[in-house]
Amino acid sequence: MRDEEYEQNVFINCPFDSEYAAIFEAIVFAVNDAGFRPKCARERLDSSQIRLQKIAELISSSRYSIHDLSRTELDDVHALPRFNMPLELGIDLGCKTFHPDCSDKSLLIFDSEQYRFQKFVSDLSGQDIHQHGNSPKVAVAHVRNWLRTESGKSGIPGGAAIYARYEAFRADLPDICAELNLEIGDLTFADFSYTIARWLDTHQQ
Amino acid sequence: MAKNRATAEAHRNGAPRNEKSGVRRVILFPTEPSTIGDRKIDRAIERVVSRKK
Repeated sequence: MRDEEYEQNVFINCPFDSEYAAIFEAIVFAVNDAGFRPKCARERLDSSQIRLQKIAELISSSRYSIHDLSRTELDDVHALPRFNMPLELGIDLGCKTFHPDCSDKSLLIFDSEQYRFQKFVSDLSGQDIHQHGNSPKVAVAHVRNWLRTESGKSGIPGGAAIYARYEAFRADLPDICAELNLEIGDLTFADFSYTIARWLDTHQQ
Repeated sequence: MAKNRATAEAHRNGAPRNEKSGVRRVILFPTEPSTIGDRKIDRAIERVVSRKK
């Protein structure tokens, strides 16, 4: 369990809707630029594996996790909240509490507004919940500061530097996709994640 | 001193430098395979980067 990958992996539990894509993609980039490996339920396309089992495996193989509760709100069609994000946060908290090898897990929890979570999941009171205000730049700064603090790793660039690199990457991405005859939206998580890593590797030389 | 020696050795072996500190930044690649193919993505990035030079 406590292998090198566990120390490097950051599980990202965020909404996958198009409205959230700007924040999600900036977070994936920030994790990579900070020297960690982003992990996400969308990286595995094996439909034979039960979704919850896949998520549990990703959680137990990642020392760090980012959970965004900002989309826990009533949908227009059913007037019910989507509860996948709080459920996965609960699995992660259970893993940290009960798994003997995972007590050093560190979680970054986002919500849209301060104290909003107390209205739907008051048991989280006492946890440090951060607000990104739907701003990718703010989310990147929080992710960077949290990883720097929790890992103790030196040499992680500042939030502004990471975001500036992210903007440069976004400027190149349409051309990269054109070379691949793809739209940006066609990239799977595995493709997007690899593209970020290769772009970062290319641009540090 | 040992750290400086290790860094110098890394640079002799082609490790890239961080703009400020001169220390190599580690970029971790995904453990899951890309669906497009890693080499295809490598070449696409190389072409975009070379056009900008």
